[in-house]
This record gives sequence, C-alpha cells and structure tokens, in this order.
Amino acid sequence: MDVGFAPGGSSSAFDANPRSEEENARGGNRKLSTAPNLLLSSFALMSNGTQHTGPRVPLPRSREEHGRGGKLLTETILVLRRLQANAGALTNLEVLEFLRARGATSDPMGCLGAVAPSECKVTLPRPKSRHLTVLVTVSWFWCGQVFDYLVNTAACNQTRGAIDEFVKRCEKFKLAKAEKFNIINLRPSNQALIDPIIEYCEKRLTKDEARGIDEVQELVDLVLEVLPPPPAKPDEEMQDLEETPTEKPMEEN
Amino acid sequence: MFCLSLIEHNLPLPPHLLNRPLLDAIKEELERLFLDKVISNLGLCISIYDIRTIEGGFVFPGDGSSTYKVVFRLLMFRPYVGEILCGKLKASDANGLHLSLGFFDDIKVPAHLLPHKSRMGEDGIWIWEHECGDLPMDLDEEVHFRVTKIIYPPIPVEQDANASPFSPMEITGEIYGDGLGLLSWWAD
Repeated sequence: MDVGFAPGGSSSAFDANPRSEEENARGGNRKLSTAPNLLLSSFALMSNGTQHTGPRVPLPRSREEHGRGGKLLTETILVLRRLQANAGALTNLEVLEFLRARGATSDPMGCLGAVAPSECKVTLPRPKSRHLTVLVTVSWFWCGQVFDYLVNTAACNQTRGAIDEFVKRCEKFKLAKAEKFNIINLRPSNQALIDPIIEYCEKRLTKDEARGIDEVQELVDLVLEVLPPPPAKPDEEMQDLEETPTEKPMEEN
Repeated sequence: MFCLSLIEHNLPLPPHLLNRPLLDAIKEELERLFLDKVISNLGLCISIYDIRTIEGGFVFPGDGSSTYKVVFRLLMFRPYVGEILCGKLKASDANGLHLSLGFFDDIKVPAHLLPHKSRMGEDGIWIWEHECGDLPMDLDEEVHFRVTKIIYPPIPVEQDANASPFSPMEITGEIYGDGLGLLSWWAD
C-alpha cells in the first residue's frame, strides 16, 4: 500500500553514493547546504517524482561541535516506505514478553551483551546546536527503560490466559477494542478509574439502583477477578527501615 | 500504547558487515537506523519486531555496500488520542505539568487542562482546590492522564542558543475529569 510516497526505487533513481550535499539537495525543498533539514519521515522528502536522495549524507562537521560528552551523533536522511502504519496494536503484556524474549531483564548488568541498544535507552539527548539533528543515536548500553516501565505496571503479572478470559467475559458490555486494551493495560480497580476509559459511560453502561443493576461495578468486579493486580510498590517506610540496620554497622566501623 | 508498523526500506548494508550472517547484519543495521528514533506520524520506535522479507542484494556501481529491499515490522510507541496512560510527574511550572513515562519524557499537561479550580502554589506545585481539601500535585507521583493530542513538530531550521532542546514528538495530556490525575486521589 503506497501511501503517496516517494517513487519506488528503480536502480537508477537510487543514489547510494552521494557525492556532495548540493547534489543531494535536488528534488526537494530542502536546503542542505545551509541548514540540514533532516527528517526521518515516512512522507516523501522530494516532490513530483524527481530523483531520490541518497540514503545517507555524511555531513562535514566534527563530532565535538554538536556532541555532548562524546556522544555519537549521526545525521541521516532516510527514505522509507510506510506499507501499513498500524499493523496491529499490542498490549503491554505482549510487549513485555517480546522484550523478555529478547533478553531484557530488570537486572542492570544482565542487560549487557544480550540486548543491543535496541530495548535499552530510549531517551533522546537533544543537542541545542544550531545544526539540528532529530535522529540521535546513543550507542551505549543501558538497562531497558521500556522494560522497566512495563515491569512496574499491571502487565508484569498478567498472563495470556487471563487476558483471553477477560475479553471473553466482557463481551456483554460491548466495549470498543481500544477500551478493552486500555482496561487490560491499566487494570483500574474501582469505578472512578474506569470512568475515563469508557466513553459515554453513563449512557452505555446502565446503573439502576432501583433494579439493582450496576454494570460499571460488574465491570470493575470482572477486572478485579480476572486480571492480576500490579506488582506492589515497595513501601518507602519499609525501605528506610531496611536501610538503617545496614548503615549502622558501617558507621560503627 | 504500542503498535506495529509495517515498513519497507531500501537498506544499504555497509561492507564491514558483509562477513556476518545476512539476517543478523540486516537486523543490526535496521536497529542502528530506526531504534530510539521518532518517525513522523508513526511514533517512537522501540524495537524491530520482525523482518518479513529481504530482497535484492544488488551492488550499485561505485559502491561497496550491497542494497537490500527489506520489509519489516517496527514496534512503535504511539498512544491513540483518548487513551489513558499512567506517568510520573517530573516537573511543574506556570505552564502546567511535565510528565514522564521513563522512556518518553515529552508529555505536557497545560494549565487549562488541569482539574477545575487548580492554582499554583508558591513552590511551583499545582494544587487542586477540592471540597474535601487542597490536594497538591507533588513531584514523582503517579498520574493518570488522557492523551488529547500528539504532535510531531517540524525541525526548526534555526534555534537560539538557550532554547529548550527540540523534541520530535510531543504528547499533550489532560487530567480534567473523574478518575484522572494523581493515582492517590482515586485509589482505594
């Protein structure tokens, strides 16, 4: 599915070896020589079917000029074709399992070697230099931040069986797929927390005290019953108590 | 929050990777290109999910690298508008709140999307004036917010020396409504 994109690459249009910045600036509105307007974008960087630019433009600047403490910056123009923007949504559990299968762990040292900078550090250090880079690659190892985030959510204890059961049993509430996803990811434990997830909650889920029907509460009960609770966060007071016994011997010495 | 995107890309494989098994080399090159990067309108790339097809392997004249047409799926972080997410309150100023998901920091809740009757305290902490009492929005608290907008601002050509760093993907959230805001407000 070509989404109004750059012309599909015939070999002549695909310049894999750019000679100069000016050469690469043809076919677009970008002025590479003055300001590198680089964007990793799924939309065409050029207009009206003119030639592609090359896949990579090495810019003649030193690393130190716009690096921060020796971080490696690469400036790249990429032309990619977006076949399907949304090829399927994933629950947090599926992402967590995927990252686990790739070797991400919550142990900082265990991350080295098994997992490439892939699942690791995802934050982008953003240089303030005038010659901007959107695409900043940080090529050092870091513990998986996405993994860390997910491990502290309800997805940590979930199983596929629980999710399947929840989906089957919440059929009668006629929830949208996105709402089911949101409930599975968030695991709301009371009515107040479920309220923002479901659009037009009052109209869709009946709440009739006279007849004793409270569908919202039924949904909450279903969530509490089927989906396991998120991992308990360590109580801060407990942590302090644990720390002081170990500190005392140190101070005595 | 996460979804897959199917991408086709003409990938030049640099010569120093030619001695590696093809799949590994292509995967490494794709990771180098796409990981931790924001693709406009697709979101933040978390990982290469799988590689569907690899075609080609042509070497263009004057070039040492062979070029493959690779079709693969990327695991993207792209919340939909209206999704409820849980983040941590990182900073708070006159403009509103700044939230963070650990791996993604550019989440803003502007002042007009805070709960009704919120005011800014002296120490920069926003306070919700509720009938039950004042509820401060302290830092490092878990916050449920609804995504109202995701924008991918274009790269500025010129930037002031002391401007804030450019963020390629910004999420605007709101905590106006029942069940939103600090988790401690609504928890059992």
